Amino acid sequence: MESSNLGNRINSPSLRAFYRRWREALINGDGLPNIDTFDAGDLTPVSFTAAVEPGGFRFVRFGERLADWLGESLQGRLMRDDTLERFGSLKAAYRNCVEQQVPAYESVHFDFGGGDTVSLERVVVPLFDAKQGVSHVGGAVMIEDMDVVESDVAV
Amino acid sequence: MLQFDSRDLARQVEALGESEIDALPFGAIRLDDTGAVTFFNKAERDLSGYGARPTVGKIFFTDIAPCMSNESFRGRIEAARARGTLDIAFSWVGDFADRQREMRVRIQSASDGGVWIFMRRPASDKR
Repeated sequence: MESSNLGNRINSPSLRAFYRRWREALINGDGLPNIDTFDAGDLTPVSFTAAVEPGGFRFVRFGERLADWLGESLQGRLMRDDTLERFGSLKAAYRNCVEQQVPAYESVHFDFGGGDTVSLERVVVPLFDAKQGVSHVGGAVMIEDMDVVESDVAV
Repeated sequence: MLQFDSRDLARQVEALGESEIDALPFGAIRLDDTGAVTFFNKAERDLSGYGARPTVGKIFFTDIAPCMSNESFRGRIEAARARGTLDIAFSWVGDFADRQREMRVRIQSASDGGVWIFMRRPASDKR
């Protein structure tokens, strides 16, 4: 259920800590990482939780700094699952968590030219309910935007 | 030898003939400036199973992550694309039956105003 070297792939120390918190809960917790007890810790403002629903995923929590970046909160929004969009999309990561019960990791580096760059890292983990099924996915996103002076690490 | 990580990968690919692009050990797709697919190389046709579905561009520009899809950010992508300076490197782990595998994608401006999408799947490494 674990990607043994995933922790070493994550560049952001905070995001690595998020992943390792989930891993610690998996290995040494009382049960599988649980939706009611898993804590995003310091990354709560840049993290989200989505509930598994028929045909998609619904954001039940959307961190305030993610909402600031996006310009709106996605809380309550349903992301419909579309198999044509399996191609590295967030929905693919969500589905992977549900079907494979493993974390997913993405990193993206945008170079717009002239020194304008944006880097993003995202980890999505499966969260379980009392019946030991994946009822939710949780994730955290770190964005480094060289065009935004006051935001040097997070969103 | 053409390297997937080359900074000027798109220009190097554009210098190749179509048969040479077909022979590349990684996928190569070219989109025109409207986002329509205008070219798939053989590796991409063989490995992706996506055929000629024109949703590829949409996926990368609007669906990589909802939290990146704000107007300002999309504007920067479009401006870079228009200038011909767009270079995106994307990798992910966990979307495969073998979850240790990693897929890597480069998206770079094409010289004709469109973009190239290059994909190196785990299977590509075995070619």
